[in-house]
Amino acid sequence: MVWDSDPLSVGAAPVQVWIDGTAQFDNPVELSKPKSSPIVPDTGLSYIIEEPTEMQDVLFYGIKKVLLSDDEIFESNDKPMTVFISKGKIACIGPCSPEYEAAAQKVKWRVILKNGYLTNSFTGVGGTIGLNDIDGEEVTDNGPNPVAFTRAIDGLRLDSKKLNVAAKYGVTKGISAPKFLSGKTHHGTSVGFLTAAKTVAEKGAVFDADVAVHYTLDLNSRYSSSYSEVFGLLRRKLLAVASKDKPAEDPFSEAAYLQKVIAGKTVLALTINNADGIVTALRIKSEVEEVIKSKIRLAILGGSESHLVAAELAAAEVGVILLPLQAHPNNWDQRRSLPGAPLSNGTTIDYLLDAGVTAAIGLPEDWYVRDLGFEAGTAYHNGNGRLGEKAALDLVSINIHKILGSKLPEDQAKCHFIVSEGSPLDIGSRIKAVGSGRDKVAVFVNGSKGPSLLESLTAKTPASREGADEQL
Amino acid sequence: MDEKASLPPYSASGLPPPASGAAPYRGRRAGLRRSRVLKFFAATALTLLVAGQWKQVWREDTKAPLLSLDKLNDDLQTCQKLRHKPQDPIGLGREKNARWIEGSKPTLIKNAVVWIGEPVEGTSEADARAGKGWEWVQGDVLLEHGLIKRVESHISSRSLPEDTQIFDAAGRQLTAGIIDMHSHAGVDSLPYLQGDADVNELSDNITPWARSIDAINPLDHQIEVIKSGGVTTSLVLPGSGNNMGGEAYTIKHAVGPRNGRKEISAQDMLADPDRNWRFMKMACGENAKRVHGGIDRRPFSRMGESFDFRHAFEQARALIQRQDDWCNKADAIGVENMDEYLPQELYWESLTAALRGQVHINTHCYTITDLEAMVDHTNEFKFSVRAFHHAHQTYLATEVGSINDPTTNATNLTHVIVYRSSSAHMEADHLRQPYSLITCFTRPKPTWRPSMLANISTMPISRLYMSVTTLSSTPSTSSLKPQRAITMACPTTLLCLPLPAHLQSYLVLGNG
Repeated sequence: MVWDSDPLSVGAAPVQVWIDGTAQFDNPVELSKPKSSPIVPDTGLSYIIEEPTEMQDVLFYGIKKVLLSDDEIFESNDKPMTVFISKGKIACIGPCSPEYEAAAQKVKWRVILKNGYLTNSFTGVGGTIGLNDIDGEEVTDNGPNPVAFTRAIDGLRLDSKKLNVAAKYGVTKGISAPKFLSGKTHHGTSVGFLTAAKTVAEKGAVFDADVAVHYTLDLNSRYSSSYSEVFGLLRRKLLAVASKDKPAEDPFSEAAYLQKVIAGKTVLALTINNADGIVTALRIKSEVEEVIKSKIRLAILGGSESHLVAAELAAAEVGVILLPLQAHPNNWDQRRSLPGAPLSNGTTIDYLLDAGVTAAIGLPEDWYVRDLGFEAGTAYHNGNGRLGEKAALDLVSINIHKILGSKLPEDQAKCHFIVSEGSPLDIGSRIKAVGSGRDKVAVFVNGSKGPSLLESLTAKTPASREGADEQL
Repeated sequence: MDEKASLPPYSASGLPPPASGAAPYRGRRAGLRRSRVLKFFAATALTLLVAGQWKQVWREDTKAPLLSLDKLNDDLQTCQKLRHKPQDPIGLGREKNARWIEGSKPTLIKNAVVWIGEPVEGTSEADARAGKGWEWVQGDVLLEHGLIKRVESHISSRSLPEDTQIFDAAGRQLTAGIIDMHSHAGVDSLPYLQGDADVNELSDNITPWARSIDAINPLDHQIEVIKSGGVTTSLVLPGSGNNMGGEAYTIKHAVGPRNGRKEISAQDMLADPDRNWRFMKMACGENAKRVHGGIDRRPFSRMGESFDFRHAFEQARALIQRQDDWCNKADAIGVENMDEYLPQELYWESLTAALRGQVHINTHCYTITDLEAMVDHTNEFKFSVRAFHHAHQTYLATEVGSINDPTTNATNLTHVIVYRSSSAHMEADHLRQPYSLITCFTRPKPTWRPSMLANISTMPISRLYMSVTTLSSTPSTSSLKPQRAITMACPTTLLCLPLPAHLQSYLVLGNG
């Protein structure tokens, strides 16, 4: 077959496939991609550091791109930037302010990067991280909540293999809701937590105790009732709460959280894949709003068919968290999922972006923690230029918090970041350091092997440091 | 022969005819009134003689219709099939692909950057293993008669038939189609509908008789979607709910006239219409005991699973013995003299073929415990495992090698990190795979994007491509003990399918 980009690059798709000499696609959709030469083997990639070195203070040399907040975007190929991390926080990007200058002069270690990127860390949303350690083993799970409305914070358990992987791959924040029945289903309030925290006792381990109020209205909700029943039940619950003036007796009860939804303070997050189901939810939203004479905030999780109703979602200012970026029509209620090029012109995300819907990408299964960068990369590379790098990375970080109205960790701006060799949106990139909201940064560089170097500065005088810089 | 000795005499056609029945009586009654006795005796003897002769004739007459000579001859033919050792079809030297449809036009793909799939000439084996000497080359590719006929730096269209279709690759990269060796396409159609769900035959734990081809739905939307990710060929396996799930089939993702085929059928999708090799799915560990096990229901534990495996192999081995005895005897005494038909049982047919080395066994095993049990079965019953699927913990083995040939494959369902407690697919684990294993990658979801493995694998790109486009050809006996150094030489067949003509030696990637 002939590919639209190197077959090992993120988002690569065939432009034509021949089987037994016969071309298989009549009118294949071809994405517009910059021409590039084949990826060449990079033996440097085989220097894998499995266990990071924890460092409080460290310098990163060779940062060519900084993609943090919208006003912190920096790009330079000629004069890479130096970033100083002090006590796990981003202290200086470029020249240090006087406050940090002395500390930067004393730093003992520096990491020298060839093509360094400094970006926001990621947020893993919609999965079961923090509530499940091993998918196939029930005893490691918080358990299903088909009837009871519960708070994820009450079932949060940390330090699992999944969470360790998440933190290592730059997913420093998790937002998980109690599962309704199985994976990709949600019922109760979600919790925002730090993936690197070892126990819930750790300071700042939970950054948002109750993120959003979740219900599942996809095929899974049919296990014991009908679509018409579960959608109707949601309306009834909302209207029942709206008709009460007094606050609920139990401030942690379903009614109490629904009051917050009615008050527009908390987001109502509905897990729905089917386009008609989504529109039904939008209708219920407006039916309730008509009664309460104010707006409620709604988000859709799943959203496999949301491209069909992108305009309606945009009009209702409802954000969508895709689970996953490119859904397969596994179930009947998502049968109109789009496969992308060469079969379809664009996928769901493209339609959402075109319509102006705030979109994000979540964890349909927990192993996606390792791939969130590539999910964003697929949206970026296959978006025909719709997204810049920063906007693509926002799909797996900031946008999630916008859509769910989640708080960010207090130290988000300074303590949650990824330093990588190469763009996190590309194959061949490697995470070299992760700041996960603690006073230390996890550094994945060891000694002098590999493309990134770790160098001790202990023996160097300031003058020789300057000299070393020039050799870079 | 022991069994034959107890067979009823009417069918013992090899025995000499009985002697005359008159002789034993003669003289016994001498001494009585002689003449009358003599007369009576003579008459009686005559009667007996006639009766005996008549009976003899009757017995000869009645024997013939009991065994059909036609069927005996068919059975003798079957003996040939039973003894047959499958060979990989030739690559180089074919005029056309067995799947080629008369009238299909040749295609010239111009100006492509081609992954040839073999290191440049002179590359040492060690370098090739380390990923050195592999490269992309600029060139044109000619497809004709369903084969990749030529890959050259420039192919003039003037030298080609007039109806040749030209595709300008405009400098884009060209590879062979990806082969997915772990697929349930067609048997597990999407979107899920109960009416289409045919992936597991859960009526029994041991169903070597089940065949995925009986359930492949050519209209499964998935087949098209999978192809859109670059997969052209898939091994469609039954699911892993049973210890022995049944036979698997390799299909090409070309269905019906829209894809250049004559008909919409599973038969027409068969990648190897000549059916040179057969494939079978087995599965160890968690699933079978979870699905089938219960109090008084086997397998409740891995112990029950191993018994189910061994018991099934025992049945198959016994049947093979009876068949071989029959065939050898028929050869020795002539099939027309056989007193029974060739023993055959549909229930065990595929498993006997597996023990006879005619079936590539693909077995789903996660853990060291499972791998070890399966290897134990291979040693007890003398068969080979072609590929371990899922294979989460093969990276912990020092060697999963082979006595005869070290080409057992491991298929990893990549990207599933904590799916089972044994899952641990981190980058470094792939590097730790024993070199005897040719690691193949598949995706747990329909759309296959090879890029999705690149991030977790630090293998040389050459090995990556090989891992998704080729399978080695030689069956092997598995063993967890170190056996011998392993070559990473390119296997010459793809799922035992014919390779493109002219390119046998170096196009690991392609089958058009």
